[in-house]
Amino acid sequence: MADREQFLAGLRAALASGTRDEPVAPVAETAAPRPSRAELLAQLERTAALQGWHFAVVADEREAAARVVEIAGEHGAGTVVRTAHEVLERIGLDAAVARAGMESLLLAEGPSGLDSQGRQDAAAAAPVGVTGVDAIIAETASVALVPRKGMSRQASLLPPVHIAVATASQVVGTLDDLLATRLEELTSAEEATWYMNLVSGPSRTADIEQTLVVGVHGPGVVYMVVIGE
Amino acid sequence: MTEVLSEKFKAQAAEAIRNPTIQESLDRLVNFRQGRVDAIAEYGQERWDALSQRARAIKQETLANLDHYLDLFSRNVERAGGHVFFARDAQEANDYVAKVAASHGVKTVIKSKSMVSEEMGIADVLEGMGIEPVETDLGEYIIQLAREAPYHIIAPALHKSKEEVSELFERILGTPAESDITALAGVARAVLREKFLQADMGMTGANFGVAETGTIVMVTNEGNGRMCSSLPRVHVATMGMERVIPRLRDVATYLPLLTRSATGQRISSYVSFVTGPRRSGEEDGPQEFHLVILDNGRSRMLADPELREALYCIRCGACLNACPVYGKVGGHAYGWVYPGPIGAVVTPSLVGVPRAKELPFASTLCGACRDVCPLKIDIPRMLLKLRSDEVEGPAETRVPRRMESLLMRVWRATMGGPRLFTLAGKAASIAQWPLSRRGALRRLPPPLSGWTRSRDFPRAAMRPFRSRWRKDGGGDGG
Repeated sequence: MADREQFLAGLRAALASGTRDEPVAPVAETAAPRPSRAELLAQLERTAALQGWHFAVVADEREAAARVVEIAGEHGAGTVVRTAHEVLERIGLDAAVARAGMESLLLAEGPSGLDSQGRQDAAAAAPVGVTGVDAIIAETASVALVPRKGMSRQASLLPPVHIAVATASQVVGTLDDLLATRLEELTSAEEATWYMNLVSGPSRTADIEQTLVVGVHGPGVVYMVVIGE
Repeated sequence: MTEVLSEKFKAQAAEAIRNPTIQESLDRLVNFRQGRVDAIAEYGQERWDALSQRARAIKQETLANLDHYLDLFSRNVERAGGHVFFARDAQEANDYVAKVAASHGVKTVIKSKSMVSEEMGIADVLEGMGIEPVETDLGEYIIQLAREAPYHIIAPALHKSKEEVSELFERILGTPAESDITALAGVARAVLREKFLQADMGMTGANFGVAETGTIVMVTNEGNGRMCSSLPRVHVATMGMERVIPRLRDVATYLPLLTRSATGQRISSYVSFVTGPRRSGEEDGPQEFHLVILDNGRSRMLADPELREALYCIRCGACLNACPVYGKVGGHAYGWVYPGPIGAVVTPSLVGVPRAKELPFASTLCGACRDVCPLKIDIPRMLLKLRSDEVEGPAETRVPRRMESLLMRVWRATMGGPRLFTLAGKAASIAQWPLSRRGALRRLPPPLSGWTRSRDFPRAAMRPFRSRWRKDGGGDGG
């Protein structure tokens, strides 16, 4: 069995004859002028459509809740599962869903009253999952989701429909913009353990005859609802 | 380790060329090629070239200091609560994964596509222990049912028609025949959904390993990578040791190069950043995270200044799509895990030149692979190096090569000056008449007969180009 020191010693032997180069600067993107929020939103609207999102900008929280309820209704949802993202509290999702005769289930240990198996079963059975987002990348229409307490990994993964609710201030330009800001948060010791997903449209495959099929394992229908300012 | 069948390259290639279903599938590679071109145009050629250059420079520096970066990377994985195992070969890697599976009493393992796990042959090992390994990428699932090797780095079941997939599902899953591709994918979704929900261990690959944070980055389109890293209580990732990159922000350099080169996608549907197991207080996610870092012959490439560049590869598959040889002989001809131009370099380097000696010759050296490579890896140069290694090899292979080197000397003398060249042109047009059929030389006499066994030799023109150029007043066209 090779331990680390043995393995690395083998590499040092393999590298013995070569020169050791100097580190390369991480990012050399020409510092383009920072796009305005309106420009980012316009770019996001274009890329979201290309990536297969159903995209809507809504004026305020009330409209966002109405849009989510409308979508859930279209998909015949009796129950929607959701995360504890603050934006979902702010739009009053639970109340709006209840008014429409549906049920909203927060996939978290305390509030759901369900154990881990129960929560997984609920997520797998739910027709619609609703989450907030941690950021959105305009260039690729990617929603960043960082699971943590109250933020289940499953709400955006197991139901066939995912609705991501965001605010316009969460939109950044590029992946590099996102990673540069995330890195600062992640350098603190208590955040050494983390998981992040970038979701950039529906689950898709073209593994049979290069023919596109959506919804093969993850959600096949995805919505981005962005609350403008 | 997965069995090496590369010695049978010629027979396997001939089989593919005779198979119309396979030829039709290979014709579809045009979609990947076009997708790549469009995706680079959208990104902007200048910006793309800058990305490509930076990616090369980072790889060069990372590999030159690989001991340092792997040390840092592994310590940061551990800091995040993960376990790291360094495996010198496939056997050690398999033993470790088997031990983890056994210690957790695992019954079902869900796997997301990983070329390294193909290299290891871990599925067979698990099966031997009575554990059910389930490939969950649709293409990988299809070839697992067919008990075949992947056909293409990013499209493992590229060679299967929908009829063949339907027949396979019917035979093994007992589902009714189905001609609709969406419905076929639906069958796999239903079967695999059950497996996802019941599995106790998930296995994934890693496209990148970030040294400064101890993060592995996985790129998938179907969502199976997320399932494998979220639902089971244990997550085991396997990674080739060359996949480490220094900084988190370097992902922004490599990710567009990977997805736009591979399928022409702006980004794949899911990119997962995994840093250790579930965070404390998190609602779900694995309780344990293990990372296996595999050498398996890579350090030999690292030590060889002429082959080290092959370790820059990010496995996008663009060289397969561009290669005129892969485009006819397909993936199985290459006989191991990595097909196409990069496979012809990596396979002899990883399994040893004698076991894959035909692969470096399975190329026209046209350079299309190098042109499309996002890391600008000089594959033709390495193929030539491996060819010369092979020629310098065992004595019994040297006899025909001696003839080859004599011919090359005659060729050089003839091409070296106009007098001999003109004379040779005239001699050729006279000497060829008894051999010429339908505008081509179908059979050359020994020792050249080997060349025409599988191809025609073009006939020399009756009026050489040089004399037409002079007489027909060429040169004013431009």
